[in-house]
This record gives sequence, C-alpha cells and structure tokens, in this order.
Amino acid sequence: MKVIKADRTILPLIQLITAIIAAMLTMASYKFISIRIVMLIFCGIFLLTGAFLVLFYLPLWFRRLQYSITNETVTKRSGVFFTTERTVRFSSVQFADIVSFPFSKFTGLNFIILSAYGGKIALLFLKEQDKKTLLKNIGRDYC
Amino acid sequence: MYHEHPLKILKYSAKNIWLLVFPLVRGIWAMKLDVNKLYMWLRGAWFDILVVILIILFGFAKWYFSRITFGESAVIHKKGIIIKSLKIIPYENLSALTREHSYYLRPFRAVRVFTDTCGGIMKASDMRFLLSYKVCAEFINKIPQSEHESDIVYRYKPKFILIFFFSALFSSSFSGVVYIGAFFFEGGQIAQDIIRTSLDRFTAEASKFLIMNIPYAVLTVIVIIFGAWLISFITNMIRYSGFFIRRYKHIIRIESGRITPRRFLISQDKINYYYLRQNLLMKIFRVMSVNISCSGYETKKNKNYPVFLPIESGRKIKSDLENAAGIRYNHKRQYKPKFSGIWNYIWFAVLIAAVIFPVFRILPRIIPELDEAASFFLIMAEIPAIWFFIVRIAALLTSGVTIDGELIYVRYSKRFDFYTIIGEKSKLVKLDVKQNLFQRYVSHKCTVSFYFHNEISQRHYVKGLKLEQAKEISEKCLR
Repeated sequence: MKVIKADRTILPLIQLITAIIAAMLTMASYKFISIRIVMLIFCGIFLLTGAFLVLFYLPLWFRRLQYSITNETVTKRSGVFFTTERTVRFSSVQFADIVSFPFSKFTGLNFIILSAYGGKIALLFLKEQDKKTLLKNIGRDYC
Repeated sequence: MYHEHPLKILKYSAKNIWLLVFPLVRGIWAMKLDVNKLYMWLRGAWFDILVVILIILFGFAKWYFSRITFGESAVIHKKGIIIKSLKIIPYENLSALTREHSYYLRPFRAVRVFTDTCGGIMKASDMRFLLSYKVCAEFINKIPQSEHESDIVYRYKPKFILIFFFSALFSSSFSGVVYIGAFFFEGGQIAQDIIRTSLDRFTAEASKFLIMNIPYAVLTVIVIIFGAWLISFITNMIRYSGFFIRRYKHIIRIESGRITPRRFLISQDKINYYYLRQNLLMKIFRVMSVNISCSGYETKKNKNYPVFLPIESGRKIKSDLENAAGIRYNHKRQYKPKFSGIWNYIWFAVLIAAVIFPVFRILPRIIPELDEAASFFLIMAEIPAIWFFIVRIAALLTSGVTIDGELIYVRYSKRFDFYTIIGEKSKLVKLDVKQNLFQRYVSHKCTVSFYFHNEISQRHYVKGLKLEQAKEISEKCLR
C-alpha cells in the first residue's frame, strides 16, 4: 500500500487569498456599516474567521488530506474535526475527469475525479508524479 | 484526434453573450451625447464590433481546445484553455450511446452525441458532443459489435396502431381526459340539474354567476387538460413513430422519431433491470409496455420514456421478451400479500375519499355562492378517489415477488400505475424489510423493498408480505 500526501505547495497562496478576502470584508464592514456595535461585530467575525482559516483550519486540512493506494482500491482520508474515509474500488470506476491548472507541475493543482457506481470521489492537490501513479493504478485506459 | 463540429463555435460563443453588456452601456452613453447623428453611432460601433469579434474568437478558441480522441480502449475528451480538463471513458464502460439528428443540424451534417456510463450521481449524460457525421461514424466503429447487420439476433418494428395506442396511453393528462370525458357525459347532466333547481332559489346575480362563470371555468379546465394531452400525444407520436429495435449479440439498437430521429446503442450487460408498466385499463385488457432502466436511455436530456417494447399483449409478452432480451418471462407470483394485509394498500385511498366529504361541506360556508355547486364538485372529486381505491385493491391482488433462477420479479403498484420489475440477482444492491409497530406486534407483516443498480436510488416495494416470506425472499435473493 502506498500513502500519498496532498501537495502543500499551493497552501501559502490559498492562505494569502483567504487573508486578503478577510481583510477586504473587514474594511468594507468598517466603511459601510454605520452602527458602531454592528460594525464591530462584523469586523470581529471576519477577522476571527480569516485568522482561524489561515492559521489553523487550512494547514490542518492539508496536513490531514491523504490517499492510500493499493492494487485494487484508493482510500481518501480527510477532515479536520471529523475524519472521513472513503474507499473506491478501481474495478467500479466508470470514468475519470482529470483537471489541471496552469503550472500544476509546480503548484500541485492537479485534481482527479473518479466516477464509480453510485458516486464520485475527488482526489485533490496531487503532485504530478502521484497523479500519474494513481492513473496507472486505475487502469491502462486512463494513462 | 478530432474537433467537434464547427457549429459548436456558436454554442461556445453564446456562453459569452454577457460581454455585450459593455457595448450596450457604451451605446447608451453615446446616444445621450448625440442621438440624431448616425455617424456618432458608427464611430462608437467599432467597440461593439470588437466585442462581438471577441465573443466569436472566444467561442472559436474553446472549440479549438476541445479535442476528442478515440483511443484503442477509451474515448478521451480534452477541453479548457487555461484550466485543462480531460475526461476518459473506456468503451467497455459505456452503457448507452445516443445520436440525435435534429432537423436543423442535418443540413450541416452535424449530430448530437450523448454517451453514458453507470457511474455518476445524476441522471445526466457523462459526455456530450456535437459531431460531424464522419467523426460520429469513427466513434461508432470503435464500439465493438455495434452495427453489423449480420450479427442481428432479433429485430422488431411495432405497427403504427401500437405506437398510436402507446402514445395515447402514456401521454400526460390521459387520466385527466378520461375524467373530463366523464365530466362531459355524466357530470354535464348533473351540472345542468343543479343549475336548473338552484335558479328558483338563487338571486338573479347568483344565477348569473352559475350560468356564466362556472361553465366557462369548466370549459377552460377542459381546454387546458385536453390541449395538454393533445400536445403530449402529438409529441409522443412524433417521438416514437418509426420505433425500431434490433438486438445484436451484446448491443441493443433502438431507433425512434421522425422529425428528430434518435438512435440508441445500449450495452445489454449494463441494463439495470427490465420493467413492465401498466395502468388499470391496461391491466384489465392484459396489455403492457416493456421498459428498461439503463443509464443514458432515460436521461432527462433525451426526454424519452425508456421504452423497450412499446405495447405488448399478455399472449405475446413471453416470446417477445425472450427474443428481445433473452428473458423467460414468469407470470406466476411466488410470494404474495395475504388479503388480511388489505389496510396497507387501501388506507391512503380511503383517507382521500373520506377527506373530500368534509372539504366540500366546509367550502360553501366560506364561499356561500358555491352552496349548490359544491355537491357537483364533490361527486367529480370522488370519481378519481374511488378510481384510486380500485387501483389499490387491484394492487393487493396482483403484487408479489417471484424468484426464478437468477431473476427476481417484483410486482407492485405506485400511484395509479402497476410495475413488474425483472432484475438479475447480481444487480440487486439492497433489500430492506420494514415493519411498523402494529406490524411488529400484531399482524407480523412487513414491506419488502428492492434496490437495483441505478444512477439514482430507486425503491421497488411490496407491502403486506408475511415476515417469514420476507426472510425467505431475502435468503434466496442474497444467497
């Protein structure tokens, strides 16, 4: 069994975007909400949520996201507060969607969505090499 | 490697139509400056033209980057300009392939192609293309044993009259028309009587209301229901005329439709189950429609009933089903609900029939003008309620489960229709046995539900079976 960890190269960028969005929402609340107490509440909510996501949730979510591959199955393990494990047998995979962003070789923005009987499983933030290994394991049709 | 048909550029372009907002804003701005001078508009038009060109260029780029490859074992669809997406479907996983020859695409020699597998969670096509005839033929050639006439095992083309009956029976609001028919012949007289007797007592205004308004309201309802049915009937006639089924060794090919011919290639192994569908009249006359549950042959996009054999008589069903699907039809019910389980079947129908009485007693108190007409509407509302009650009794007498070798037959009724599911044991996903408190401690009966392979979870259930029977069924099915 091979264990693949999510590629964390893109994490700082996601953290940065999240921080910018939180800052913009806080500034908008400060500028457009005239009632002081409401403005403070909103600013607090946006700042705290931003800080929580950037400093705690996102790093932990990335750290816990992993895939275990055997010759027959792939298991996705994810979740911060509640851990979810989802296993799909390669033989039940009907088709695959492979999504790559620009510079995905360097950023790890490679996604594979496997559609099997009765559901889908999304394998997110894969290294180029891991993506190839996974596709090879699913079957020669997908290489 | 192939591109889709160039017509697809228009569709891709249409997606960016929102960009026209910019020239529109600019146009309004320019009009304000000088409305009467055309040259001013022309001077401004360069921007509009540029945006339109940009839209088309965008469409062209999307079309150019949408590439289809028919590999040795899979079809690959690559698309996206910045974010690249690759969809891979192995040929052996295809459950259905649909070709739709719309009349407006034919002059361009273009065809819509939908491909489906058993995967996914929605009843939507997994791949959709607009292809030229040449590329489409290339695709078809890749599917093993699809279209070689010499390999045909069975072929069947129903007569026009059968398609006519099928269209009439399965057009929506058919039951509404039967109901309206009763309204015309029976209810019409009742309505007249009511009006005549109430004329003596009603004020001039009230009688005017009854004469003028109610018949018009009724007429509107008749026109709407009959119109809806007629449209549905004509649509069905167009869609299923020319229905033709060919069975190859592993593939079933179905053709139907005159204006927009649709051709389906269905992988026999991927059929989830077969089912016979009947309403009460069809049940009485021992006539049925054979349908299939197969991903791709019942998607909303295709807007068709998953018809396999449109109309079959009780006498012919056995031989036709064996020839068309290789199934030896067993009409016997091995496990059937006992008559003591009648309440499970009729309680809802009884409830509806009972509720109608107080509703039409209370209604005239709220709207006093409807005092006399209420009894007429009461009768008209009771007709479908009683019809439903009869359907439920028939359901009790015809429901049941049969296990014959590797096949499971589930006979049950849902709403006004009767179904016979014929599915393989290997395609049974789940079997539920449910009891409520009364069933658990008093009657010892239960409801057995069957779930077969399907894109969406679909329940087929038989009510009022004995618990021992359910255990036996469960053992036999899951063994």
